[in-house]
Amino acid sequence: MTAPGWRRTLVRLRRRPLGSAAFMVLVFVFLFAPLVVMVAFSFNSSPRLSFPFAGVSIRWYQEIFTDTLVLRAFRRSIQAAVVTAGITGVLGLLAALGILKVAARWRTVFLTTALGPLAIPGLLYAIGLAVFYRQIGVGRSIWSANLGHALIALPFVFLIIGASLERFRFGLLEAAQDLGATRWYAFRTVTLPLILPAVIGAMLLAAAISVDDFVIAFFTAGQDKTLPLVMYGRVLKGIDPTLNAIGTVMLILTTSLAFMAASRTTIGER
Amino acid sequence: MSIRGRVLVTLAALALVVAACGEDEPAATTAAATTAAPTTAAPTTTEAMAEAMSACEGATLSFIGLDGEAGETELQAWRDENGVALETNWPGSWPQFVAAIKVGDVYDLATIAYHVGPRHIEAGLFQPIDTSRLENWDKMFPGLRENSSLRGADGQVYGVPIAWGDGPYIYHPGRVANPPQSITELMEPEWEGRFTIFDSPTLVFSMLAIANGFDDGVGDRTNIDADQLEVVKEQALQILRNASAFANGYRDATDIMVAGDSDLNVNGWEAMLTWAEEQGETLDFAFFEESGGGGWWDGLAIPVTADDVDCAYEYIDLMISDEINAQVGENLVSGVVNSNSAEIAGPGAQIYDYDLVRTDTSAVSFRNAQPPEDDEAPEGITSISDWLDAWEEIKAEA
Amino acid sequence: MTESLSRRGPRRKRSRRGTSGEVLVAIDRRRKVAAWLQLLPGSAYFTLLFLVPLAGLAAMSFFRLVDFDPVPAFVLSNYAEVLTTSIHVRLGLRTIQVAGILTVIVLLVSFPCAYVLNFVFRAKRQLLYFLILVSLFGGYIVRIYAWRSILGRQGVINQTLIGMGIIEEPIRYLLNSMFAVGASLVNFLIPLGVLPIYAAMQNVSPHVIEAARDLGASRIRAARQIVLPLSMRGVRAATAFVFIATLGEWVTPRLLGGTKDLLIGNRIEFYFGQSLEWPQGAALAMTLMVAMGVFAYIIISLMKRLTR
Repeated sequence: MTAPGWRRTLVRLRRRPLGSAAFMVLVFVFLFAPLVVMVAFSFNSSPRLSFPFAGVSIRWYQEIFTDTLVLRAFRRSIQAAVVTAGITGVLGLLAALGILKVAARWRTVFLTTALGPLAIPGLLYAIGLAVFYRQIGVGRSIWSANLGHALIALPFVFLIIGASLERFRFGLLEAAQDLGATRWYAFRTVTLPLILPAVIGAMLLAAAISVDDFVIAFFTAGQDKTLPLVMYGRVLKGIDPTLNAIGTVMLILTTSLAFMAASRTTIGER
Repeated sequence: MSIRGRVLVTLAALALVVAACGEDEPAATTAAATTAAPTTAAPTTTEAMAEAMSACEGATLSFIGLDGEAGETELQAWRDENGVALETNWPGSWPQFVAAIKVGDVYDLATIAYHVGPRHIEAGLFQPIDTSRLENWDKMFPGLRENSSLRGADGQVYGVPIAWGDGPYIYHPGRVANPPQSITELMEPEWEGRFTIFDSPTLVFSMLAIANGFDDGVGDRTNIDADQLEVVKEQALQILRNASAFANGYRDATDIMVAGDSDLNVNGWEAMLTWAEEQGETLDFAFFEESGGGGWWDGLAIPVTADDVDCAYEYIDLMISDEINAQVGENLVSGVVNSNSAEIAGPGAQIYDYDLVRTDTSAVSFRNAQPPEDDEAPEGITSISDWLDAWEEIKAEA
Repeated sequence: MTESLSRRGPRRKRSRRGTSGEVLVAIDRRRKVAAWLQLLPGSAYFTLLFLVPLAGLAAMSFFRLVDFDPVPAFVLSNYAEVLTTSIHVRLGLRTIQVAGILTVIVLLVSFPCAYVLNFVFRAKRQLLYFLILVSLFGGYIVRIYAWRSILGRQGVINQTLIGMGIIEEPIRYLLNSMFAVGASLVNFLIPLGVLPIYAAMQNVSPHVIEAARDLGASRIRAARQIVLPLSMRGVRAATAFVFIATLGEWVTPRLLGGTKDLLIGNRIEFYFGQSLEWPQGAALAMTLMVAMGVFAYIIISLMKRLTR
């Protein structure tokens, strides 16, 4: 893949990217529209969530950053994200390594079964999990929620890994070993680089899912309230700009978390 | 693709963060367990202090229900005095509220609201309340105290009202020149896409039953037969088709109106006027002629999963005590339930007509407009399940 | 350079046949044991935290409801009720229709997106991919509410159009309509669609496209006839994603839809909260899961046939 022909090919393909650029701009405008609105209204000085804008103010941020409930929830959300990503990463990496070596039909079975959690409404799974925790005597805490978060992140892990297996060249591994490479060397130079981006991508998604989740946290986190729990507590009072401020903080949190991991691995690579 | 040691560095870094967070955890949980620091100094009440020698000393009360209805501000001073911590939880919706108690989560106190209360009582979410343990029970307006909607089929009391109101609809006077007199007007084409409605058949069906002369609007329960339900259903479908959206609560209905996306909300609350004012929009209220001053109440109940029942009783008693209940009424822009509180409450609680609740015969304003429960329905009369099914059908048909 | 699954199998066998010997058999066995050991933690985790709790719910779909409490039993009446209600047929058909339309939209955006990322802006692809994922963050509920500020009568779109003099009266049906529900769902699903397609597309070499272009194929033809079949696995995963997400959705119709836009997911909410009939709710959920599987299978098979 590092053949010198690459660059030439890319130059040729890039020759007329205008239409593509326009398309991507449109897609990004659409994708980021709700986030732009959220961030914008978090700086609106009026509590009103429609236009015209009254003025710029950081009062909603002052409000949330002096609110001990929000600050505590903020810390828990960070913790939940990291722990969930950790569990997902370890399980995902091991599973990815294992799944490379099993027969194709077993691979399909594993990858398909792992999609299960996507097919279940979150509320149902949360209730099932809460009942199960109670039966085995596990208390409600942020850790209980983390386990659930990692579980609902698993389908994404397997989807991403499954797709990346498409381009896994098994021949390479055998070739490396045939050429006398040690097991570890072959792993480090062939297997890992091929599956690690997928695993890290999955970890990022797991972190984001954990920060974003409401329903599992509600049933299993108990009084260890995360940011979404605090937010939902306020929704009935109406969606006020402090919710937008919390959302913006969450956005920064998840984005920097993702950036932290991604920048070390793939961004900027040519 | 080339190999990058940086990948491993990242993994190691992440692992370190995970480990660091793990170590940090004991500190985090300790912080979570400690009582929330007071953020605002609520006015202290001598009356509340006097009752402080209590079962609640140092307790942690867990509450599930509507924000602002657990004495968060009104009993802050009392809680600080007695080292009581209050944990509040709103599960996001009534379905999740039910689920949370049903899966066995421990809550000492819960919101009981008149419109879902009977279902929740029947579903076994709450334990019966021994009213002799509440010192302030007898001060409650008879119209509330004696009302059937806080009682289960066994006749026992399951909920203690802390606030009440009448049942107006709220509209935007700038966009509605002629406020409707009857709910049947909402079937007209001119109302298409202009109003929000709550996702519950009870009030709409019972008002339509009155409009058609199927029900006199007096006394508890709306008794209509299957043919009459068909007529009501057809009209409700027309109303539902005209409605722009389901409102997810009073605050939501207010926000939708303030944003200009609706001009009227069927079934409202005077507090919506205050909220809209805060956002620079003027709303007004009026009554459908079929609503008959149909009222609501919100209260407190003790879930079956409660841990600290003694403290729960004491807390409920405080919530309906003279001064505290006056504050509750003022803060919720609602009627007070304690007759002494009515004398001392602020303007927010004074817009209500307390004559409506002074005698138990005037309980008509709190009539439980729900149809009979399934096992109580007289021969040929439709029950709650029939109504819910009918509502679900027109929702699917709309 | 490019290998599809179908070509990989034989090649592996060939290499194995060529290097026979007891040592290799032993290595092979050891590798297999290692593989199963590596799969063990994930499988155990999945079983304990997903299958077991889910089995509890599945069991509940056969329970009997006594005084609003699900009592262990084995009755089929819950399924009978769930399957014969006209409400479910109606809402189910509506939901499938919506899911189908959304799938088409999401694929029509996601595939070109992944293509452009992978082949046109290759140098910046990681950054762009990252940005697409970032658009998923920020909190589910707040993002949904943000659409109200965009689509409302005094929202961004209406006010812009009025300001530009294109319309005089705000367009009412942007919000509280299936359009609003669809916009919000598509917004949330595009990143989830790009994800698997982009991942699958990594196995398509730009050289292949180059060759096709050299032979006179248009860019679109090259994408459709070469890239699409090679990244089919990703497209199938994206399809399954969209379908499953739409069939389980109930918050978005609630907050952005009108009174006419409820989906089948709202019925589960009804059973679990309003009517308190958990066994029926569980039965409906189980039925939905099977239905999802069947529909996803049908659509994916159709897609297979169309692209091969």
